[in-house]
Amino acid sequence: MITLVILDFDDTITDNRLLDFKAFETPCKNLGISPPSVKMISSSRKKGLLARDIMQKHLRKIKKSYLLSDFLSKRDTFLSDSKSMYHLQLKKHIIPVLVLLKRKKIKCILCSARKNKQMVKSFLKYSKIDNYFFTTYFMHDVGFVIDNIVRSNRILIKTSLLKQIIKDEHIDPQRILYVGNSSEDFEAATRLKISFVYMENHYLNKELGLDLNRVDSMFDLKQKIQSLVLK
Amino acid sequence: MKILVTGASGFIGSYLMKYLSRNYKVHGLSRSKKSQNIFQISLSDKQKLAKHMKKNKYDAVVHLAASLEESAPLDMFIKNCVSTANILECCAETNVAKVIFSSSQLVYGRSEYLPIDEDHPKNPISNYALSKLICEEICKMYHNTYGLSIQILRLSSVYGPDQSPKYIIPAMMINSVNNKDIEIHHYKNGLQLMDFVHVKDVCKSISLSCKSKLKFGIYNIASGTPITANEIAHKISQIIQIHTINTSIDRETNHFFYDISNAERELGFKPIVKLEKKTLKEIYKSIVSKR
Repeated sequence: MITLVILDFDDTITDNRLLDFKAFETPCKNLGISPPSVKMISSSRKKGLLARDIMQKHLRKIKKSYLLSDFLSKRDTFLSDSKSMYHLQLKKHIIPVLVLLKRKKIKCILCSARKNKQMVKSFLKYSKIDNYFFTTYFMHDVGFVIDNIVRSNRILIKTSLLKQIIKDEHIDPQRILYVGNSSEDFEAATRLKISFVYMENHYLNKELGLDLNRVDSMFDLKQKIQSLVLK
Repeated sequence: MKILVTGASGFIGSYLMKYLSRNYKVHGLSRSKKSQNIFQISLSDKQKLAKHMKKNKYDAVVHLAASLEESAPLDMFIKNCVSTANILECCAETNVAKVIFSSSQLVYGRSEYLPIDEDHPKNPISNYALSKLICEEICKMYHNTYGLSIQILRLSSVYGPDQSPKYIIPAMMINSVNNKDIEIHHYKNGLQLMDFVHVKDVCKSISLSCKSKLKFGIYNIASGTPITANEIAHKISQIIQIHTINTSIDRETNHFFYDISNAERELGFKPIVKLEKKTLKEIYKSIVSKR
């Protein structure tokens, strides 16, 4: 039986579309250039492209490729600023999921590969859901900081975070359910033999073609958790 | 306590001989006889080895000797496994109370999570690493079958004065002394997390293992603190003028650093020497003095 649910943050409990667009728009504005269109960002993201790739393509189109590193540095500053959290949106119907976990006495932990711990904590507080989480884990909590743009690093960060939770909670991995939205999340859960639920994302690409536990909304997730708890 | 150290003339071995000699009677085995308490006996010559060990009645054996010759992988592989089996066989025959086997961080292969603990999957990616993992299994067999008390120490990247120039810290310093650029891209773009432990801390961990009452244990011996090649270059730049270049854009790398909580808890190991200016100055001095 599941006794611990770990929720990923970005694009799992939040909808990051607006934040992502603003993280293109604001640095572009600072550099005095037009940002890529919402349509272009959205279609590129569905193909799994990173911000660097999208901007590289856009800058090539407007013949300003030399601005790439400036853009990336400004984008990084924008995303590290706590004010950027106001562009994040909480997923609909997350509260009933958190209430269900609390009612069933299932611990709920938030886990993120983000470097900015404070921003996430502020977001949880601002969204009035901080009390539902037993604790939170970020990259700093495992004693290292590495570039989270590289895919293999993202897998390493996520696996390290999950491993740390297993150690700290003295819990059998089979009693854990991890809800994430990427192949990196899936890979991390698989390495540690943790059950995984894939939160489908209409914004990012549907990268996992495997036969997975999939949900496409918080409403679905609630039903999935109910079935797993009853099992 | 009377201790025998194999690989006594190597980098760790020579430090260990001095370290242990302060409190114990210490003999060494080596391919080359460098002092009175070092004996030139090949570990593949079991008869000679057994005769020496019977005569000297050691209380503890520290097995450091290993071949690193990746150019002759099969020879190296066989040599490491045979010498380990021979030394363990002789320990069992002569009732040695404690065996310390020096293994390597390389047994883990690509890191799946950090910090790497002793339960991390083992996927060695070189013959040397595989030979170390097999030697660990031979140690386990001798513990289970003959009741030998064995401590296996998985050493991370060991550093200190008088180390071979092929290793990262002396290599960077030698380049600087020769006014050559430090090519950071040779060190995984400079961003790779690594874990360096000072040779004095390694000696201390071995000494603690010799005294341990535990019958069997496997421990990571490391600093437990990650550091990158960029950070090392920066620290070196505080004592010597250096110039780094980096032509790599590849960000993919295998990061590693180790969880040393088992060694802390069960052996009382706590790394003391920090990779900082003072320590690096000592290494620099040893390089300059040889020029």
